[in-house]
Amino acid sequence: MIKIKLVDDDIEITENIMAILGAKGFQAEAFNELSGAVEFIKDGIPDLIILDVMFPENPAGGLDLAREIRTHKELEKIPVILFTNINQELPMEFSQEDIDDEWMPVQSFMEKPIKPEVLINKINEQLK
Amino acid sequence: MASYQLKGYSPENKSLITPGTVILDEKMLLSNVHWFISVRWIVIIIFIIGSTVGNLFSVQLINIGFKIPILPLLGMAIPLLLMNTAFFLFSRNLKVSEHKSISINLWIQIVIDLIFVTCLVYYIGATDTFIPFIYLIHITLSCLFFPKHQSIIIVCIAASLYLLTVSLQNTGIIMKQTVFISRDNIDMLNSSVSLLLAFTAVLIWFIIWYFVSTLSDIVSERDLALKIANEELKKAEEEKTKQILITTHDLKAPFVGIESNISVLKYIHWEELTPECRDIIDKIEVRSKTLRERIKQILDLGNLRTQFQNDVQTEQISLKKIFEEILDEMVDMINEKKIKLVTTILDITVNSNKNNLLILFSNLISNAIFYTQNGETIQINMEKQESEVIIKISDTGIGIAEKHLDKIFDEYFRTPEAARFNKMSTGLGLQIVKTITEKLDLSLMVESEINKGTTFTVGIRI
Repeated sequence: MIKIKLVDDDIEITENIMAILGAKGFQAEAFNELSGAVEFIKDGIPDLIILDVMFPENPAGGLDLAREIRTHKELEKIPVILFTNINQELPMEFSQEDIDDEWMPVQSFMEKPIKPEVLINKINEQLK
Repeated sequence: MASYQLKGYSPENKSLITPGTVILDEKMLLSNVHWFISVRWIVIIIFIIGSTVGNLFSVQLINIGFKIPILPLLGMAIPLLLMNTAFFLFSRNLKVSEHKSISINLWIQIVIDLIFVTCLVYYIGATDTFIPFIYLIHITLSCLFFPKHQSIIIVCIAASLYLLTVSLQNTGIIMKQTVFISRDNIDMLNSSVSLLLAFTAVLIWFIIWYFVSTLSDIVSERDLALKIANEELKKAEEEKTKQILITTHDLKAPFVGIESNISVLKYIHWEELTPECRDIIDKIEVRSKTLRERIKQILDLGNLRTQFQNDVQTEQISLKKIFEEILDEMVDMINEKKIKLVTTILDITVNSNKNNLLILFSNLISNAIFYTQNGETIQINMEKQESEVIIKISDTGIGIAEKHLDKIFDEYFRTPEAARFNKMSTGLGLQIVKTITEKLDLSLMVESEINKGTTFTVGIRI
């Protein structure tokens, strides 16, 4: 079974995503804090990671976490999807275009609110 | 087909004024440096014309009792010409931030001018004409340019130069000069009388200096108080806008949660719900999306309005990528309404602001989608012209009546047809489009015919 790990401080969002992924036959696990997130991800290496960007303790915590993930050899090849509300919270227009190896080292970018079909398509695209 | 074009926009350079101890701010001082130089060119021309007239009409002038000092005028015009050229070249490199350099430049210009004025006064007649009052030009101007303690120095320099000239004349060290030919006029004044007249003139200068500098101080103090009050008002306004933006952000977040929950409900449990329940959930979703969209537009507009013209950062942007990004985002809406999309999008790069262009074209395209009937066509055409790119977004929607065309860019304005057709409309979208058009100095035109459709044409300079 394909294992997906989520890191997002919004419990409601992680519960919703887990329900969608569960309905589609994925095994999903969530973590709602930034500190300890790397250990959570490493404890049972997943096939895909979904990260939020803005955390209460660090408004760009998800990006920092994505960069840290790339420094761990066992995690460096796992696809990461950024799933964020940042464009709604700040007058910014982040998009897929902004993905790069240094600043935003992820494979895909999508915006909240959850659109189940889009989310599943993005996941399938990365798992191919 | 009726059309309406937004008037051209020439943004003013808005800069914050820092209150200081100077009488005039740096921008004003620098403009005075340039103004002084321009006036000096005129003075040089007058000197040259004066000497030419004196040369050409010397006989006629002598007949009416005057003699123009031709050589001294030419002798002053040439060094003035050289010095003014030097001032002109130097002042071109002066920047508004260099207050000290601007002040020194003005000081040098005034002191050199006073020396030339003294020469002019000497040759025209230091005590038997009204020419000494020409010093008052520099005295009054220095009261406006500099604080009181500095302008008094200018008065003292002028008085010293003038009294020295009169004293040297009276003691016979330099020859007495005048434009009057009649010996009677010259001999009429003996040394002590001419010195008394000179002191009287200087006394009048000091009195005028006192009144002008006092008045200038009062005006400057009020000007400064106004500037400070204006700054405080601006800060209060910015703070108010910031608070509104924060509150609006906080208002928006719950809607994302509501919509996410509805999405999950629809995705997983939709079949378990009765048609009545589904209908209610659909209505909740529409309401939530409408409110979120309205909050987003208030935020966009607030952000645009708090952004100073100078803060709009530009970069090289691919218009193709901008449209790809917008159409990717709107693919669900387009599919849902079964809209035929016909596009001619060129791979053109423009120097502009990416976020603002994204917001502008998103608004125009989403309007086209909203106001077009299901299954109809929307066209996006891009055309490269000599100096600009023309982008046309056309729909075959409900159109806009001619009488409403000049009002559609007003805040919260919705035509009755639009309000009926699209209940999610906020009336802010085209106000945002207008604000961005003005910020980015773009051209915008709308053509429309009721029940036939609308075309928005945007021009971006290459």
